[in-house]
Amino acid sequence: MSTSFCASRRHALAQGAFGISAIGLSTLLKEDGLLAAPPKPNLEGEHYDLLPKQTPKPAQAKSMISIFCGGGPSHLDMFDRKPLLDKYAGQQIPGRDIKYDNAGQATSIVMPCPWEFSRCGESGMEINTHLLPHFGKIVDDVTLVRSMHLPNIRNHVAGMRALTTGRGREGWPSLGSWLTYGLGSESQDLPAFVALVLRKNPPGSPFWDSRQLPSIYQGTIVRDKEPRIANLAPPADLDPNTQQRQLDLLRELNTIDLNRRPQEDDLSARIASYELAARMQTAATDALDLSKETKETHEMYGMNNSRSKGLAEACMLARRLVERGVRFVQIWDYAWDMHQNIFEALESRCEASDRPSAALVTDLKQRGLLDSTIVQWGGEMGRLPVIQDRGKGTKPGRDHNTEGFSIWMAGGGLKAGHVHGATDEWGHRAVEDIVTQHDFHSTILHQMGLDTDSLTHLHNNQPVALVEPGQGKVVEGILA
Amino acid sequence: MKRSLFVTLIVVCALFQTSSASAEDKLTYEEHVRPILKANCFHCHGEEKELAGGLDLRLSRLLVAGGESGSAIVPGDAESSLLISYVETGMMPPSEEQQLSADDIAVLSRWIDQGAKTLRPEPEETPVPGELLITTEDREHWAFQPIVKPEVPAVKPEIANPIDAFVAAKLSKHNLTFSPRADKITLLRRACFDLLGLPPTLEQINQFVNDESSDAYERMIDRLLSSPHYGERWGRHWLDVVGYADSEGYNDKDLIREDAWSYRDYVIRSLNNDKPWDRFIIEQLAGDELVQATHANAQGLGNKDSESLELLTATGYLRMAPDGSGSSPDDPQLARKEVVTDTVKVVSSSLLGLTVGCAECHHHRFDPIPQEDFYRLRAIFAPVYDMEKWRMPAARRMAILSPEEKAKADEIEAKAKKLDEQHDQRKEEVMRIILGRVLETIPEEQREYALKTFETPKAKRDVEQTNFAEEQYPMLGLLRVGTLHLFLARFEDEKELKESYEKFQKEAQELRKDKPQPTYVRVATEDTSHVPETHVFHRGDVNSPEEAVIPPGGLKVVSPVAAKVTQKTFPENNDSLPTTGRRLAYAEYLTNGKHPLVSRVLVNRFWMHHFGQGLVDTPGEFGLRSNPPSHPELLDWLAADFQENGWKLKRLHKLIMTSRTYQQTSLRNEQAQAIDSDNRLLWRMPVKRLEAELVRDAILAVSGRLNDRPFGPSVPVGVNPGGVVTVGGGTISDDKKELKRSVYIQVRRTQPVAMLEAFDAPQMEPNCERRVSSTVATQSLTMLNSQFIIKQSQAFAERVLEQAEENANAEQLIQAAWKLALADQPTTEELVAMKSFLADQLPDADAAKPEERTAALAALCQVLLNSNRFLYID
Repeated sequence: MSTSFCASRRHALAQGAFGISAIGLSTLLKEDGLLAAPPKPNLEGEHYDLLPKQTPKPAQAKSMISIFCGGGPSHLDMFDRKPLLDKYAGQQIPGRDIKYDNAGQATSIVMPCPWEFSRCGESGMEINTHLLPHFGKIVDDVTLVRSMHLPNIRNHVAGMRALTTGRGREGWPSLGSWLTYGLGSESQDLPAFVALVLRKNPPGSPFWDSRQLPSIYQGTIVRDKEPRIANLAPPADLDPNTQQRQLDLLRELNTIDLNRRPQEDDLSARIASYELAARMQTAATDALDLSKETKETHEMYGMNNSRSKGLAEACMLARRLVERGVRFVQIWDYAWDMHQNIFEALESRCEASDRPSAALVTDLKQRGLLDSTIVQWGGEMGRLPVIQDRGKGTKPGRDHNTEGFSIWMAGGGLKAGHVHGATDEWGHRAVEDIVTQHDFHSTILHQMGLDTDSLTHLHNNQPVALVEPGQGKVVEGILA
Repeated sequence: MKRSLFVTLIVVCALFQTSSASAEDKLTYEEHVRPILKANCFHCHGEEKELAGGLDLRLSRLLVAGGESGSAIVPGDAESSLLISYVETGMMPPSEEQQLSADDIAVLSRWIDQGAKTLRPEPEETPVPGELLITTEDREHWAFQPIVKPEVPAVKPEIANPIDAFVAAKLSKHNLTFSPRADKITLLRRACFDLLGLPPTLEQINQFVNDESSDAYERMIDRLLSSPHYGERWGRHWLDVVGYADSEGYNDKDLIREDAWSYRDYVIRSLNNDKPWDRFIIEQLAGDELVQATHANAQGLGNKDSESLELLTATGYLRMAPDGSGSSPDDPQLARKEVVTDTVKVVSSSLLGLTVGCAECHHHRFDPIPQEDFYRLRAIFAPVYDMEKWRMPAARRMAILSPEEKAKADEIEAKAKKLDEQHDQRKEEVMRIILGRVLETIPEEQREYALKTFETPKAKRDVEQTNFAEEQYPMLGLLRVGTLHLFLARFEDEKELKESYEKFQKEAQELRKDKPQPTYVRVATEDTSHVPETHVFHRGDVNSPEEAVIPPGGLKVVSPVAAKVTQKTFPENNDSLPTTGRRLAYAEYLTNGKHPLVSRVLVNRFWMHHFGQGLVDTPGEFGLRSNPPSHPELLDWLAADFQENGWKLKRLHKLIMTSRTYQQTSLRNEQAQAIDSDNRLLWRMPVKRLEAELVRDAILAVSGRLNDRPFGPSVPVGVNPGGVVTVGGGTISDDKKELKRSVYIQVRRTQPVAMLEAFDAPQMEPNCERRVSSTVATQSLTMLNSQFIIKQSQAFAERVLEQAEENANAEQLIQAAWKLALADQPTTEELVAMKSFLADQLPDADAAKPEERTAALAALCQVLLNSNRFLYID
């Protein structure tokens, strides 16, 4: 059974005013088993909406915030300590075949992390508290996955695509689109899927595209400066009364028209959509207004540090959106590609990221939202244990590593204070309890009450899915 | 409410009953069991070369024969049958998500208990494992039957149009009748949007409304059919199916295709010229072969005469699929394969109405399409996408100059060359002047020697000369035309001297600016030196080709039953052509009037564009899973009639649009609503929302700002300062190309124009068979707040004021605006509402400044453009 089925039917039932015929009777008949017909695509009157859908299985989480650290944060320097790197510091890495992305600038000289790691919290999770002092305080709420692996993928764009759409190739719907397609939205006044883009778009085509799914499941971009949402606000020079009068007149004319041709569901749906648009102008403007947060909250997120201000804003916005029923928020922080001068760069990036992302978890927890919200932090790759020497003599960096890297997650029915999987002794390849993007997606869907196999959409009469049958498995080891 | 719904359900069941097995039915393998096993079990038990557990389920007797665990069934005894215990316990199918339903299991049990009967004797020969067996039932599917023109039903004598006869016959069976004819303005607006994609102009309104002759309607249709805007509207429909795009897609580079638009213009021209569709198809599939073009000579032919150019341009059809092969893909071989695969998908869904894409990896799960079918089709197109001698997209285009352009280019070049010569000559002279000045720095007695040294080429100088020119007087050694500028810098008259030769160069540059540049055209041609072999890729994996060479061919299910392998319906290689001739042969086979799918698929799609819904409601899917046509005889009659009458679309439009069926009102009535709420029987005209391009084009037409210049390079899109992808990125050029019709706007796969996308313009992945029509708040926000709507509402208001009498009152202005936007007159109630709006906006109208007046009217105009009356067609 395809999800669009359920969507249509529930929509019809939930929205009696729009009439039953909006979805085609035979759809209803089929679903109710009154017509014994072979499985067929849902053909009649395809109808898509964002109303909340019942999930095929119980949901642990109802929303998700993903902080996408594009570029590839160095797991070796932040989350995954490897004593062997200290032992072999400055020496040739013995007998290892490193999978280089850029062999031209590669060396095989081992480069250790210059900082000590320490064990944190009751769980004793070992992380680099020099770079991540705030993360150190929330480890007991977090599942750290040290065994991420993207098969056959090496560069950024393909990796970001793999983590958002499941495939390295361009042209597939993103996770947020799938979630809103399968679940609808708790808020009818706000976009269901928001992409919060810091600075500039990450390289490559949009990672919040609905592609084969109907366009209503596409992510809405919220920018890091005004206007945050395109076409949300009326033109600045428009007298505020004018638009209200316009909406009133529009409603009046449309109602006269609807009386002339009653029962046209599309017409009444459109009248409703203008009301929604008007509500959205108010609701989104309110949701995006950070002046409504207290001074303490601003401080907690790191608003008064110029480095962390950007992500602090984004994290606060994400919390405000999720609080109001938005299903999926993805923050795009493409700033982690460190081919040279990696240690200074890490200090600066971690200063920008550590406090806001830890505050987000703390804040959600304090507000009782963490149980129902999955927070995920991570990039599309980690980095190599050996020196990459781009500018000969400049400070060294590390090259891409999609063979093994770390991400962390919190809330949404996932284990707290838990470490899952491991890389090899050099931190290069994931070797224990490997988690691919397909496993990651299967797990997210599972927690949200969806099935990888039933979450499909017919496009040109062929089923499209986030996870192809047999491709991914739910990572049971991280479920609470 | 509940009760009436229930009544409706029953009635609808009766209308469209699908075959279902009731308890008393005699169940047979072919009719009831095979479909269940095929969908759930054949994949491992029959259609893979390795039989899982040695069990083959493709024939009833093979179930009895069983596999490694013994007989799968004991006829007459379901309880003892392994098959039943396996599916009941969930052991089979092995995937937890893919268990058989209780209903399916019940059917299997009943069939076994009834003795496991077959409909007819099963073939004696045991089928080869892995082969997809095409059954009699498969072949009997309606869409695979030859098209036979049915008799037009004899209904009332006043019904002259055959379409009406078919529709009326079905309506009366269900105690329904046609709805009344719509009023003139409604019909005009409907026809204008249907045929041109534009709202009626004032002139069109006056002409039609004032024409009181009995054939006024027919004449109006004729006028619209001859409009040049017709091809823009109907070309767009075809471009959807073809997957037209101005960028390569595939990866994030999404390179722009500067050379695609000529194909778009070809489509528009072809439709305007009412090119017969059989010819239209042949040209697109094999225009190159019609003119005996090859990869080597195509550009020459294209430049030779306009007819060859037209036919070569037509093959752009085969070059529309996303193509990442020139965008440094991660896996080049995979990228190439994907282009060929997508091309086969486009061909099959546009012309055959079947989804063959899944047969790339395995036999089709539901339709009788074996994996080899996909590769037979692929073999037809493989010569234009030779994986072994791959040509990047940029190497598959022609540079075209018309004879006039060529003459002009030659003329300009000749003049510029003369200037180049003058430049060189003068520069040489200047160099001589400088030489004179250098010589002056050398003692007089050595000057002659110096000159001689200078004149001697460097390589031929003797040691003394070399020493003289390089050590003693290095200036002399350095001076050449090439270093002249270094010397000039030392003199006061540098500027004049430089100017004296550079002016020729500048003049030549100026001239060359006007030199006509070639237009690049994407074409499909074959390389005669190499014909690639086609192999099945095991599970679709490009690195696992199977051994057998697959010859080109059509779908097995529509080829004669007797043929063991696909009977060759067209030659594999045609010796009279320099190329393989495969595509030409295939195109001729598809259009020979005997193919069961092509014309059915085409007329169904044409019908859909008029009625919002096809007679078959899945225009790209005519296979076993499609719903049967609502009017099967009408579909066949239209398909046959279309073929018999020269595959002419304009004739078909006229036939459809002059039918009673088409001219009905869209109003619902209770009685008909209760019987057929989905209007599958066509008792009224459905209400349709304007498609994305129509919304934009209609706004521009009403505001008076539409640039209706046809054809030409696609208008670029870009991101405007507010972060939105818009036409031109927010700026309007002097030539106003950004205000052209939407069909001319660049289709960039990764940068869809936000406004068009909001209204469901398709993403070409790789093509679009049917658009969805959504109603979402982003549409409303776009129509309320976007720069585009604000500017066009302002322009609309200015247009109303310009056309109005000087002392026009509010009511007159409202009437004028209403007529431009909606073609008719507002009712009193509507008028009152709008007058009151204007009064609120402009409390003191007499004292208002002109710009305040315009602004108030613009606010009203924007409401009209947002209204349901504007956005929907009755």
